[in-house]
Amino acid sequence: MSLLRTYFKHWPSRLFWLSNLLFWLVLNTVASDNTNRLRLEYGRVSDFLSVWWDYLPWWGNWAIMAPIVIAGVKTIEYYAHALWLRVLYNLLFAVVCMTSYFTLTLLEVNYISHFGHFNPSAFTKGLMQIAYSPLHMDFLVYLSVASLGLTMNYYEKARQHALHNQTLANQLLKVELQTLKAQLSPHFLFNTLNSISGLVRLDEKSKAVTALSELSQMFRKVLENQSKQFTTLEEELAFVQRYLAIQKMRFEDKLLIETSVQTQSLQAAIPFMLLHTLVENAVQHGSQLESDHNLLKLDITIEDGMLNIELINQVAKHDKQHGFGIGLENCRKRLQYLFKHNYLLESAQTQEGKHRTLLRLPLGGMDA
Amino acid sequence: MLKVLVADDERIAREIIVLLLNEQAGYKVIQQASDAQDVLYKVANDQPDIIFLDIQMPGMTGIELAAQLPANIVVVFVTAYDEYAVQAFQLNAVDYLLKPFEDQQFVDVWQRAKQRLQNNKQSNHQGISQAVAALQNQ
Repeated sequence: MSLLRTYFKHWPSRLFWLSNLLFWLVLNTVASDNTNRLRLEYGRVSDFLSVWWDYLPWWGNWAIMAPIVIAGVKTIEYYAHALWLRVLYNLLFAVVCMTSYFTLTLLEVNYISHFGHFNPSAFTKGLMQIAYSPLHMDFLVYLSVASLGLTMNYYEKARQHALHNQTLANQLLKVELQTLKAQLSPHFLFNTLNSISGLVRLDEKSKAVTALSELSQMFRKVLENQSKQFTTLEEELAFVQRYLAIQKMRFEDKLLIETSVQTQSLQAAIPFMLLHTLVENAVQHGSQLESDHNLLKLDITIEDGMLNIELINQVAKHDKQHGFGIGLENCRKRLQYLFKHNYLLESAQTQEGKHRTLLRLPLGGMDA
Repeated sequence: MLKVLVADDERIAREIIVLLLNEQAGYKVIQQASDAQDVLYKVANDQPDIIFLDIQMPGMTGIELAAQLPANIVVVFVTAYDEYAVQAFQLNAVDYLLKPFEDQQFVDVWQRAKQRLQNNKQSNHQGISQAVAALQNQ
């Protein structure tokens, strides 16, 4: 049963059947015309239509045989893996097909040439003639059809393979992008929870509630954006503001935050938590300073059709990382995936001893 | 009289420990420090007996700082999240507190620190040097 099912699974499509029928009819017409002209050239009595009818069983039957042969060859490819087994099955299949073809054709020829009556002796004679004839034209036709079947089989397999590879590559890209996506740092989480526990112990209840609420809102946003890559600048800024509010509560006078945002830029698309990572990086460096009122300046504008984000922060003189952490490296990889080369992320020390991070993104997100 | 130094760059985090210390029996002098420089200065001047040391501090990490402290000081590390450090502490029997902590966890650590101070300061310092070495090798 499963053999039969596999066989019919490889059955050519309806479009193939139609073009196949047309092909053999055209071939029959060309062959009959050729024979007709030759006969007339040699002064024999001939007319195109009767030649066409004479030839029809020979060429026309291939319209029936070709799909059968193609499905058979494909089935053999599917079942037999060893080369010798494939050759053996193909030979057996060829014998079965050719015998069926000749039988069918001779029956039809016999029927036509005897004006609708069957003549057994003429049929047997025809069969014997074919059996003793040298490499017959029809064997060549069989070989062409079988090799067409094999070619189709390999082509389909290669296409399936390519498609499969493409799907895998897409999935891999998705997973990689997902892993590059920033997450709330465990340091930040546990430190904030510790600060909240401190506020409760110190009886500063309203501050504790505010901090809990800000933290919850941040987590809510992270959950909401779990499967998304992009958000609007407005939402991202709200997220960053919550983060900064918590850090200001923790570090009090350590940070001096200045933000300036062009209103038109608020609806621009930006990868979720990308700005957050940059700000977090800056805060970590600012809060690690021994001095107070460390500047953290965020300036967002639209320039030349690009979203322009400039972040200036103070760093320690002997900062080993030069303000460039692993978070920034991931940001860069993520931007590379999302925008190819159509973005800018620069990070450098300014002359005033501050650190400047510049991010430029195309407006309109990934489609830009 | 015990001299205790609480080192953390975050005021609230320091105050939690100061608050819990004040609830413990015994007479103590409690000092605070908010960065590595401050810690080194106060250690040199006041010779504290026990230090609660935050790992992420301005100037130097608590780990680097601990390596520079005199052997007779009992160090309790405080950290929010640091897998490697915690592993190293556990391996070398160094005391630590994970933020946020319960009152009881603090009390346990405090009792152990006092015990260490009385018994074998030397072995405590050895544990710390081993943990610090393990972390610096990474």
